[in-house]
Amino acid sequence: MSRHVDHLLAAYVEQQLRPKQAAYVYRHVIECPACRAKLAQHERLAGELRMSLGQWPMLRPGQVQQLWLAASTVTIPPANRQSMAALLPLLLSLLLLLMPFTTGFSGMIPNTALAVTASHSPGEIAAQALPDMPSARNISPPESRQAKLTLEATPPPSETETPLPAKPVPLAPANP
Amino acid sequence: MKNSATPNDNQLTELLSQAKSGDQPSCEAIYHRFVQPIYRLAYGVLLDIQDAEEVVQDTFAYALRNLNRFDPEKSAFRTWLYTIAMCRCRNKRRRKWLPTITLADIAELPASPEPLPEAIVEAHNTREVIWTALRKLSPKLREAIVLRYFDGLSYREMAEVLNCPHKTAESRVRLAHEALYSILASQHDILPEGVLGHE
Repeated sequence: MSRHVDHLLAAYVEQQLRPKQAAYVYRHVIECPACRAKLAQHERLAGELRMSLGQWPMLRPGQVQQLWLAASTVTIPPANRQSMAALLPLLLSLLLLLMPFTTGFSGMIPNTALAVTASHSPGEIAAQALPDMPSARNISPPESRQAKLTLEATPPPSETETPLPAKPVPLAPANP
Repeated sequence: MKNSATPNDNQLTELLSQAKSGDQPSCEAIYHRFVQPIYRLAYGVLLDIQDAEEVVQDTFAYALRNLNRFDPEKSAFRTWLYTIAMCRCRNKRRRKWLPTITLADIAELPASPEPLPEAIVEAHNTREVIWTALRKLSPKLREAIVLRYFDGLSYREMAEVLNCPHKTAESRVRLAHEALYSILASQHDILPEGVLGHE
């Protein structure tokens, strides 16, 4: 009779032996009643484990529903939120790409245009929107509006041009 | 790793694609299909009903929220779900044990935490005997034997769920089997008939 195979029985039942080893165990247990009895016990243990772990415990239907309610309240995001989340990296990278351009453009805007834009007051805007209303006309002096239009029409002065010297303003007589 | 597709697999694939687009009935169908195995797995690993229920809730809350992360080319949905559940079980065990055991508790612990033999004698039930023996295994061995027997996972799937090599999964199952055999054989005279009884 070959050597006892007690040490291989668990692996045999758990199907972990190579075919040659499994054949050796099989041949031995046919001849050896002691090892055959032990193998039967190992196989019974495996069967009991399968029965015990495979069928029990079970949740009751009420528990199943209760757990579903608990899990689903925090679970299912709407589809559009999912798609937005998927687009988030793309949007961020686009923003990063555009950032240098937006900061660069602010330096290229002519000073006069900036000045004109800055000169808009609420009164002027109201006068443009409602020219017939006297109150609007009162708020916005026509001189400043004229000056604004003139500035918009003329191109910005180049840096090479030298500004003309200002004419001396004669003092007006106090009382003719 | 794709297996040959069965009608059930095709149905699951369809459910998954609908659930990914936020379809609630599909999510619920997936939940009902897997809730009992997940509960059995969690109970088998944690041996606590309340913890197992919390793991079920956390597992589905995470899985159904992150269905887009599931890659059918890499694993079966079942394996992916079991991996999440196993991870939750480990977290639960860690959180439960770390803060609660103090030096005073350790000093008061009995030499072996298993129930008294009288309790086993009273449990004239094979299932009780098996579960009592399972409690004596180390967490790693219990994880392995539960995964092996609760849903008939292959060693490859077990290795994936346990995040360990294939051979490690095999050896853990073998060690767990041998340990259970020894535990039950040592209590041979007080065990009910049917579990490791004489031929």
